[in-house]
Amino acid sequence: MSVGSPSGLGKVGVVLSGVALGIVLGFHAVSAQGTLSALQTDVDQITRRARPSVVTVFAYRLGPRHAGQSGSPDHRVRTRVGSGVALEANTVLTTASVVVGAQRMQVRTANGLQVDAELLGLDPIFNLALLRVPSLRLPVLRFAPRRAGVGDWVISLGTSYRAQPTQSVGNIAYRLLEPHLSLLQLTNTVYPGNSGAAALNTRGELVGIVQGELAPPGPVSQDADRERRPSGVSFALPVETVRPVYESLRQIGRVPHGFLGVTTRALSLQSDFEGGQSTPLGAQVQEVVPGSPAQRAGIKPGDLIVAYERERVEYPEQLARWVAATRPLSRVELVWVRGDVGTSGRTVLTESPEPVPAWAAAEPGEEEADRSPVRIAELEKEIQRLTEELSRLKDRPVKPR
Amino acid sequence: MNCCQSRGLFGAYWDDELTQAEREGLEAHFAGCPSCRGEYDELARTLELVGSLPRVEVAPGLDERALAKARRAVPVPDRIPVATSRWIPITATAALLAISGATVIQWTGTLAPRSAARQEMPSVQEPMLVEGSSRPTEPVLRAAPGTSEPVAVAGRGAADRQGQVALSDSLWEQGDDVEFILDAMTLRKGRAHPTSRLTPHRARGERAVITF
Repeated sequence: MSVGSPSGLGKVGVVLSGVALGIVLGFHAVSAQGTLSALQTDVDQITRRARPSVVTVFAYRLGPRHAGQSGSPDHRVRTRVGSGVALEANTVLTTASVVVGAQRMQVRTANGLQVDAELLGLDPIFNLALLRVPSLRLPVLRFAPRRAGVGDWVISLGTSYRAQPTQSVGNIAYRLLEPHLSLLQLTNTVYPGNSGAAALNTRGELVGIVQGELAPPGPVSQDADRERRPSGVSFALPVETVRPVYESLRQIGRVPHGFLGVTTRALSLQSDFEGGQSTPLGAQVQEVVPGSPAQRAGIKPGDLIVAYERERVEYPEQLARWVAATRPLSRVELVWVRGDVGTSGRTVLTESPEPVPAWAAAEPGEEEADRSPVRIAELEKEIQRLTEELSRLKDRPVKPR
Repeated sequence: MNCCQSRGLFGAYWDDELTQAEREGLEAHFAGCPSCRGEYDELARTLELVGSLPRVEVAPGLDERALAKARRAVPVPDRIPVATSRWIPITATAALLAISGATVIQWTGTLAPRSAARQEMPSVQEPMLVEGSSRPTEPVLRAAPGTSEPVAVAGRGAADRQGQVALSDSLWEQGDDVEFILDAMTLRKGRAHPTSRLTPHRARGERAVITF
């Protein structure tokens, strides 16, 4: 073999290069397949370990029977179904939306055990509720030690129709920052019944509690469950907010809320050019509670509160929610307008006298009232007004410039 | 080492200036080549004869000093070729075989243990009933006669031996009486507005007057 000759060496070099290229390409294909396989394996491991800690929550209550329904004369049992997460062997965290107003609750585990649960505490501001299940011993999920950031991978685990498990892998797309009440916007797909579901990081730790999803466009019909399709945008309360609320519910059964001491109404500016369009301006103070933080800050009736903790205030409900989400004894910054002059000031919030702020407390039967003839008449009147406004806008001639 | 190479080393061998490898190579060659051995013996005898002639005296130690200086100034290269071009393809082939082997090991190591790991995941703790707790049943609420107070009555679906309860038929459909909760939220200017059932109507809208 004339190995030493240049032509022989060249041939060997070409052959060897080809073999080496083949090996490198083959290795890349194998490693890509290996990465996908590894991802599937990791997700499987996380969900298999966490799934027994995720439960279905049933909340039962008696509601009035619709006219014309047969059976029991006055009442029927209404059931709300959501998800929950075991944080201790016999406590389950879910959302207040699932259990509010319930007279009896049950928890169903992934392996089919179904037992009664007791309500330890509920908070409508943070939309969380803590249940105790004395007859169950559940494996627990741990809180993530650090707050999750944009881009982090999230696995959501919950249950939906027929208490069947749901699972979705996505990531954190955005942090909706509001004073003391942030939300994580996720790309995970969530389903009806996922309220209270777990949002886990890649270590299987809890990074949030699923609250809801982006509303579909258009009016939400009463048949929403039947028509709704997953929007692919979901929201979760982050662990740094969940944890103190959970601790508080566990220890004292309620969450202390901040109190400013003002009675406000909405103030908005009607547009002269765009009929029906109004721009919210803020929360106009009608009364100030004597000796309250608002009075100490110098706020007086007639003032328009426009900012709280450097965030623009548009509606009284928004400001009330932010104030309630702030811990008592926190020092907060407010901006208000009197006449044409803007003033900023700081004050220390006190604790709200009621366990649940009066404005946020649901009155018994209020939801039923949503379906009452009076409410329906109100909505019909609103539709009539909007229809007239729409036809007026469509018929309006274009003004010559 | 061939004869030609060995003869080139005779002078240095006589002067004891060979490296260890050269010396061993040359002596191995002598053992198998009587011709070179004889030629070297002849050279040695000649040199000894020349050495027996009367010498001109020079300054004492001059020769050692000059030799030592020369040795220090010029490093002696190894005169035995250690590798030739014929080893290049052999070495490359061996390296390729090693890479191929490593790739195959990587391949099998990536797939086989992973798929094995999927089957052999660590045991997961399952929810259990606390010992002594009552057997769970499907709940049924009824209004007590003449009131709206709820009363729990015995359920239809009794638990099986493992405590598992079949789902109520009513939960298999989505009638008005069963609601699967997932709050709808709207986004506006980077903020999520919950259209939650938790905010009462009196607190919503522009006409709301609220104290907080």
